[in-house]
Amino acid sequence: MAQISRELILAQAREFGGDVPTAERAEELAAHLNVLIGALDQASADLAFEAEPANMARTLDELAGD
Amino acid sequence: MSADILNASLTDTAEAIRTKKLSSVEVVRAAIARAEALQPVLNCFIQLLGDEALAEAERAEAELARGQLRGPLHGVPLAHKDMYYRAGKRTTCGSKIRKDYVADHDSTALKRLLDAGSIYLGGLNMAEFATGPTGHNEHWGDNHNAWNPAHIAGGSSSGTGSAVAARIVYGGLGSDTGGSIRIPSSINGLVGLKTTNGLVSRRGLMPLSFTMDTVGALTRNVRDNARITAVMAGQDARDPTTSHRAVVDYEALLEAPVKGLRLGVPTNYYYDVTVPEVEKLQRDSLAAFADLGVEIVELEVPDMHVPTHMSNIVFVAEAVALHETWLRERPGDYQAQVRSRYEPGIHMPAEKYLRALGLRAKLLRDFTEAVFSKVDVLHTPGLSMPVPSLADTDMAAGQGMPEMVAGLSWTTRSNNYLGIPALAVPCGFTANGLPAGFQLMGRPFSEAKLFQLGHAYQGVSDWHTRVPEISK
Repeated sequence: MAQISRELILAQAREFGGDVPTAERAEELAAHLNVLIGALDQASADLAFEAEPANMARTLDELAGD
Repeated sequence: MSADILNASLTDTAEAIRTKKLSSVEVVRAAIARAEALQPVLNCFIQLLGDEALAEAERAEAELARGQLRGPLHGVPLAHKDMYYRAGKRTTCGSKIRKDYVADHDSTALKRLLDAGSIYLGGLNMAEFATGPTGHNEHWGDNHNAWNPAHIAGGSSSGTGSAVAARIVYGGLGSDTGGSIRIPSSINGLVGLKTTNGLVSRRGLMPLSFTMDTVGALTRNVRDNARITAVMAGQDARDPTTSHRAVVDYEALLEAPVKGLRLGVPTNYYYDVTVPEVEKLQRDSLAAFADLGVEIVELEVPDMHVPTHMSNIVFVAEAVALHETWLRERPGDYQAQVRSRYEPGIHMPAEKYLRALGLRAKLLRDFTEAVFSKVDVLHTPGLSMPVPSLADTDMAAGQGMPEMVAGLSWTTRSNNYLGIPALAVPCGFTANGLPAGFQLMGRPFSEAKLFQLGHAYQGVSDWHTRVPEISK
């Protein structure tokens, strides 16, 4: 996936409304998000196509240690 | 006299009230007196409801006189993080935006505690909207540590941490989305449980990150925590994420032998940033477990940066979904630190958020296989550093804030993404005179085993019986 850029952050922030970050803060946000998204892309590279959030409750139940 | 009453444990006090050796009115009066005396120093209450509590105590006493016992908390005063709704009453969530918010329904967890006979002494200070690990709060004033008011009470359940440590109340609710029960527990020398996701209903709890929020209690010892947890736990038709599993009688299992249980000690991640004096206290606690016949097993755990990063993806997306309107219309009514914590969520792509949720079950399986196929429970530091001062951590949204938040929640944040339970237990004091603790993690719904081990440790240690000078 394309990296999130400072320009994208600033454009989205103007669209969103509220406080618009400074260019420096937008740079920080972009760097932070790219770290998180990079980790996700790597960790989920072999994730099953069918994986969905609802599996979590069933998995907690299956792995229970009570 | 009041000091003796309030320094007793919750379970002993409940028993003394039940057997009429102690009057609930007397206990509540003592709690109010101490709360009023310490409020100027600790600032742990947002709402101290003394008159209401006293009226409830009188009712509890009259009920007992008629032979009526509501439940295992009859007549015991508790106070809770000010984010548990009571229909028709004010709940501030530690914020300016909700300073006059009145809910139209009750929190299920709180209602179960009230139905079991506990008395509501008031709403406790907290990080704004449960966001922040230190206890700084620009709207309601900073919360101070009972062991040394120049230091942080931790967060986000800061008021519960200092009120329980200061022996104002016997226990109270916090909430934990990334460590908000366990961090103030470690910081205040308390026992705090992050429950398995789905064990306790979240209905009527102000949401922060609805897939990772959990309800739990901070207490002075493990037995007290086991009692409160058992009262709250169990399915709630109004929270569809609650588990259908039968509630375990945690107190009945506390004395089960721990000899032969395998306690894991991670060789990677958890000690990467732990300072030596905190590590020594961890090793001392492990030696105590070994003396109890627990097998200590060193093992490598999966890379915990991954679930920690995933929890940050989920957290920011869900927090912005909840706060979107206020962030647009009232950005100036948030503390800078809180607003800056939510800000990345504005830019988090939806597919990344959903993928992070889709990955959750796989990472839980991987972690369980890597850790709990080898050991019964994992032992880690509760906090990696000595408790810092309020001044050292007062950095709003400035430089160093993300690192400070990450450092304080280094050992806690991943549990909320993985959904597994974790129990913070006090294990000594660092050179600055403030408490330190360890954390026990287990499989989903293994709270009974965590309580069992924590209780065994408290049978051979006395850290949980130490009382801050301020409360003597």
